[in-house]
Amino acid sequence: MKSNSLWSDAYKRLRKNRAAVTGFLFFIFVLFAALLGPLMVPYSIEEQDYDRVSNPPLVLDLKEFENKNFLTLNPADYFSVLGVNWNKKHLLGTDSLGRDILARLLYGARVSLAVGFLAGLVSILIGVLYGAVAGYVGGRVDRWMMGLVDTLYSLPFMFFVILLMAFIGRSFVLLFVAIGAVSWLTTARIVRGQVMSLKNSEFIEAALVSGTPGFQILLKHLIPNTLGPIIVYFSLIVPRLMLEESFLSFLGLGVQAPMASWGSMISDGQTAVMSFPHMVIIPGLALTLTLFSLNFIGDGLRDALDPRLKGKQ
Amino acid sequence: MFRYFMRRLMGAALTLLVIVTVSFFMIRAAPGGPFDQERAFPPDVLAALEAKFDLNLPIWQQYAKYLKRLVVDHDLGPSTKFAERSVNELIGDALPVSFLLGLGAFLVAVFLGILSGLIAALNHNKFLDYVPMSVAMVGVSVPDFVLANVLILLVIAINPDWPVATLSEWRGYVLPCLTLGLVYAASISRLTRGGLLEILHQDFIRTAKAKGLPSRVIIWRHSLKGGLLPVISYLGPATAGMLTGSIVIEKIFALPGLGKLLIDSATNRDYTLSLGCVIVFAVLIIVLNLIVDLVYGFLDPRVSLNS
Repeated sequence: MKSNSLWSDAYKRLRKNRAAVTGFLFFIFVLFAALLGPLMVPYSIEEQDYDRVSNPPLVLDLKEFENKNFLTLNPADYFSVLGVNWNKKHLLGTDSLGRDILARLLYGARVSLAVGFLAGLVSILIGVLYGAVAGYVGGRVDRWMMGLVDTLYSLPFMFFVILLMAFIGRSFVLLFVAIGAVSWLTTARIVRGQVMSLKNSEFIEAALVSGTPGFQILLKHLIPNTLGPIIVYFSLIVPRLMLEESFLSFLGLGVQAPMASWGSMISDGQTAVMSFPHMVIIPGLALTLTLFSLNFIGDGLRDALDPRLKGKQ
Repeated sequence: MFRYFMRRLMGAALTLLVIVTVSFFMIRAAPGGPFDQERAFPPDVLAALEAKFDLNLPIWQQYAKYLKRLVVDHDLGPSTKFAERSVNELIGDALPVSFLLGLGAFLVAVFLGILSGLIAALNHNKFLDYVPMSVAMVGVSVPDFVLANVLILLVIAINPDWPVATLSEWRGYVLPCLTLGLVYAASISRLTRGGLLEILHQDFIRTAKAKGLPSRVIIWRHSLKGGLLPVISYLGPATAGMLTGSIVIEKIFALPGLGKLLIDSATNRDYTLSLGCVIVFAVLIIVLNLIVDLVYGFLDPRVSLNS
């Protein structure tokens, strides 16, 4: 008889979760769009089409629209050309500088996803090491380390990140390191709890008796066994970090022009949202749907891998 | 009770000290100064300016002086960007706007959230449960700056004359408060529903029903107090989140509040003003959290404030 491993059980549970599967498929689509999309669009991220500025993605009269060489729209004209035909020159229209929105959306997807995942890795790395050491060493060290975590919880970190990005500089690396470095607290708590409950089990005792050094027990035996909750927490924290990136980029404190992220695209379109709504709606929709799908994946993974976590976080 | 309060107060003061210190040194560690510009000041002017803001002193003396002035005089110093204006004045001008925005958003979040959560819980697994909960699910995931734009476009489509980015009349506050409040209303709604459902399944509610109490009394007197405890404890993080969110909302709706002041001053490299804004934000967060914890302690008899 074939035994059911933890992972195959989890996979079965996950497959039954319709929201998670839909979210997963959508996210795969976004991932491929971010990886391959920029290679397929004929425009670059900063190329300006001076003849077609602020064009909507859907136009009323395709023939008239295509035959006109020059179409810089002002707010008064915008709603008169809006219609139901795809704008073939620029599938998702252009922004107020004549840049192709589809190209910017696809390049922006790379930035938004990369920051979310890299910041997630930074936060998981710090949290796992910190929590594992606290849980394994225990005693007074544990009390001090976790006391520090409790204190840090009450600090409004977003304000530090704002100061950091504004005063020190707005680089891509600083962006994800800063966001990641201030969000490891919950990971540390979860991992510490797991390690504490594992460290008295028999296989750890066996490793100790056979003379395995402490750091090796930590790295080879304890941390791999906390992988389930870590994956769950990672999938829950990535959308939150992507949201923080877009928050900072929206405030002009994230990625710098000509680079774009979804947050900075929304910020660019913000000033003219009532005149040219597509400049905000398109990146806003992309961001919201991606966050949605990631939240569904996270919830699904949590229910599948670690049903005990349900309702927490 | 008193000892608990004093201990929390000490903790709050310590947290505040950490925030002031970290922010102070983070700003000073940045390359460049507040008086860097395309055309440099003549050396003697620059020296005079630096003397005015104590920038010529060693950094630990600057820190000590700043801290002393903050604690003794509650003075955040002069602004390095706006000559002749003190940080206290600038923040004093911005605070009423942020206060109204926060108050409105708080009321929206609490009223809408509790009301919809109550309706959902009383109609468990029926149509009136699914609708508010689906809306809340969307509300939890949508970023506030996207929601703001959706609401702007909706309102403009219905009434093109609605004042969106002006405070010349009270209607200018409606959209900002609604946007900021709705995100938290969604979470509060879910918490209210969850808390109430848990209470409604308990034995003492069954007893109350068996005794023939009218459902009005069961809900208002016996269920809500316990069912709202998760909401109360959520209000701490929620107010912190609202204060952070107000930065974005104030940018979108061009409100001259504290959040806008912080972002403008930080991009202008206004040392004293951005530090002052962060300190005021931190004080607000800490004080509001303290209040929420105390209220929670009063409402939940299981929490002993004396231990």
